[in-house]
Amino acid sequence: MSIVLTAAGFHVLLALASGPGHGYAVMRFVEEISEGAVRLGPGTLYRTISRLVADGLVEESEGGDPAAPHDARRRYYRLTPQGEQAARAEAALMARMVGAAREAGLIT
Amino acid sequence: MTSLRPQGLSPHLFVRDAEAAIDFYQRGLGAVEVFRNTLPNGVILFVELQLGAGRLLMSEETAELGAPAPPTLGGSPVLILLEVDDPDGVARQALDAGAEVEMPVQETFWGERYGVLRDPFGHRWAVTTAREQLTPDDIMGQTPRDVA
Repeated sequence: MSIVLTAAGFHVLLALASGPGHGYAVMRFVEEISEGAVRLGPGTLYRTISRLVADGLVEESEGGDPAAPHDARRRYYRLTPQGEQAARAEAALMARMVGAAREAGLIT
Repeated sequence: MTSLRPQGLSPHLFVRDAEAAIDFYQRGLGAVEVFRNTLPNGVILFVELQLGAGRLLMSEETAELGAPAPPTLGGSPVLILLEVDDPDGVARQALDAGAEVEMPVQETFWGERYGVLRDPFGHRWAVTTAREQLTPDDIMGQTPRDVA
């Protein structure tokens, strides 16, 4: 089955696009970028990252402690080349939609 | 507040031999395990899988919880619909992993390429692609008078 990028998945890729980070940073990024409108709880963070890792879009960053608790907030992650590609493709699609929204007068 | 947690409808399946079922759903349907909750005695309380954009929850059959699996009931009254890009490919993969065909994948009057499988644990799956080529009127016009 082809890889499906969920809204939560794209938020995580976006948070890691500028460099590796731990789960806490991903959660903070999502909250800040959405001005508090979108919140990624620890359970969703864990499931979303598990799925991204299984799909090969994100990997655990070296230097992390493999014996650390199963708490995605405390582990370090980074994009794989496939993850970067998926994030680019999704961002390009969104940019086209935002362009259309602007042309339609929805964004001034 | 917008939640990123999927808030759609998700099936929770009860099976005999959850371990084998997880293996089947991974190999046969391309599921990804994202969370597992195991009791101290090793019984899988529940497992959360992701299948495409959907969630699939699964637990071991548990009589004490009133949660029987299909073999105990003698069948399943539920057909789980799985929309995929390539229903033929997914059906082949599921058959290789041990599923059985109830209805071969074929073109249907409602405009999808659609087939029905029964997995080794007794749950029934429709694999289909929504092509959205037909209007509701097209479909009504082609609906047979009877299912026989």
